[in-house]
Amino acid sequence: MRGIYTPVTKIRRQVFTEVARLAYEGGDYASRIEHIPYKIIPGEIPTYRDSIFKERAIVGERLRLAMGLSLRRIDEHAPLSEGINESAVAEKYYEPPLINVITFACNACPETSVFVTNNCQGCLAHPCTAVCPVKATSIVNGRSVIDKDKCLKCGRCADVCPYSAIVKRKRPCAAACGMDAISSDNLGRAKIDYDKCVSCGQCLVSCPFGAIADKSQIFQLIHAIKSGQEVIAEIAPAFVGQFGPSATPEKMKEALRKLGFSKVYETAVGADLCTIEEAEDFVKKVPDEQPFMGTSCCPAWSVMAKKLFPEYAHCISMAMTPMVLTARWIKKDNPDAKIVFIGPCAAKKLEASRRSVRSDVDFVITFEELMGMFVAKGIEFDQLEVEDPLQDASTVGRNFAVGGGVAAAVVDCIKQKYPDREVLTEAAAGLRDCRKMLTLAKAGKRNGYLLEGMACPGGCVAGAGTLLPIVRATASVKGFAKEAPIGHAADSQYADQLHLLE
Amino acid sequence: MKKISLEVCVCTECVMMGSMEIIDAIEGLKSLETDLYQDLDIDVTTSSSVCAPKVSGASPVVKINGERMEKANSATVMARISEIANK
Repeated sequence: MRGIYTPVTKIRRQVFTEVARLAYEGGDYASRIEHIPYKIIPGEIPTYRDSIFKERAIVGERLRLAMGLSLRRIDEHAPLSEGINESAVAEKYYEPPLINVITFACNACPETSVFVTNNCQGCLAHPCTAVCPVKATSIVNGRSVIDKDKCLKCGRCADVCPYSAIVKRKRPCAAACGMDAISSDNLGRAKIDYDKCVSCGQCLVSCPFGAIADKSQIFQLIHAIKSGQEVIAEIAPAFVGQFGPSATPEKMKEALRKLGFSKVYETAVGADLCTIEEAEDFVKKVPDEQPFMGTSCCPAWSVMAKKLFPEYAHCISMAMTPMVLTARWIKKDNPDAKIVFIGPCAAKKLEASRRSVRSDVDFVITFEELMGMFVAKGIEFDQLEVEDPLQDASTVGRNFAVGGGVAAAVVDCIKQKYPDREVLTEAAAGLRDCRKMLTLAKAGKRNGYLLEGMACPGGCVAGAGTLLPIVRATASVKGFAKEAPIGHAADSQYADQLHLLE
Repeated sequence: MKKISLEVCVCTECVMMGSMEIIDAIEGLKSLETDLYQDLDIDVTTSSSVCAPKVSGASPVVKINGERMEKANSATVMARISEIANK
């Protein structure tokens, strides 16, 4: 479903636009917010579900999440605007959890099931019975039948059926969750186990009913900008191409300045510094102090590794992430400014709320949320006359956004400084594959390796907050990376500042 | 060879509402092995003013052989193109 524009995408983006518009225009929020569901879902006839009242109620909950507010209880009365004035502040407003299931939007899809469709031809071979490990499959009245009580849901019968007549159906949210954090509540609706969830956001982009959403910070960010404080943006390298063909990288600084940001920097500067640090760490510590090293930049990956493989937590690099390094680098010269990280990622919102990072990064917003701000403010890229290219980062730093890019950057840096040093690498994308990689590492099969983990299949360009199909986004980032003023992270003009940022 | 001109609006709002996905869908038609699209020459162009004058709620806007289509999506655009191809 990724990369296909669906009604779910449409509603999500309309919500961001309207929340941004509300914040920019101000006024009596409590009264104004009541009108927005009617603007997004106009008329009397439902378009998406069985009832227009339900459609509007779901939009109402999405609006609350986009303003950073919590979902309302279903069994108690509360106005849509409850808490809105408390959330209309010029600093981050965050009530956990980040990722939320809007229960009455959830389809309550059954958990994994294997069933025979009427494609079954009752064939002579019926391999479905031969491969079943528990004899749950048999032929009754010339058709394959699965005994649900015996079935292990392994899906072997589905794999071998020559007519694709047996289907193994998973819940899309749970299938996308590499942490197996999604189970069911008493009504069969998706329920997130927050002890397991690492906020990668893959469930929310995979739910075909649009029942999962994360909280946003655009409402508060716009208040910070409106309050007259200095607000500086750092933008992740995956941004290239996300905002359409007119939104060239040369125009991004000016577009963001029009929104009220005073300055704009590339997060790829921090990626260069992160590369240098990880390269040094790797050479120093592997294999003497630790058998392998995992990269640090993807917060969903590193939190997963620390939760599920605690005995190897020390093997995940301690290097600060590009987001944090860039924020510290900006704050050195702009100590009073608020820093906003603009990226593709849901998990970064959580990373920036950690106690150790809170003082560095004030807000985290996604590309999709930023697009809502551009639309609300009427920014047209082809009407911007100033071209002000981003020129601070290297090719390999910008390539952090693409799966495999982080490991490639670190290897490139090691080769440059220690030409004789051999480095083995493996890159995994998607938390399920990341877990497999770490399981192999735990078994001693990845000794001496640099392991790159990315929670989103495809890397940051596939993040939950992106707008562009992944293939197109990958090509855009690679093109932009090639145009970088320098090729290698070690040649960064800011390399000597790394020690000042610790 | 039938020629079809498809102008897709890429103003900020139209991009947000899915105009890039329409382009992807149309470009994907070329790889379909069906006679319907074989002798069709679809010329896709983009500009930020296809939707002008802006009408609230109309995005994304495309023009097919000059004919304006509002609230377009990949399905409605492909349907219109196959209609023209079948003529």
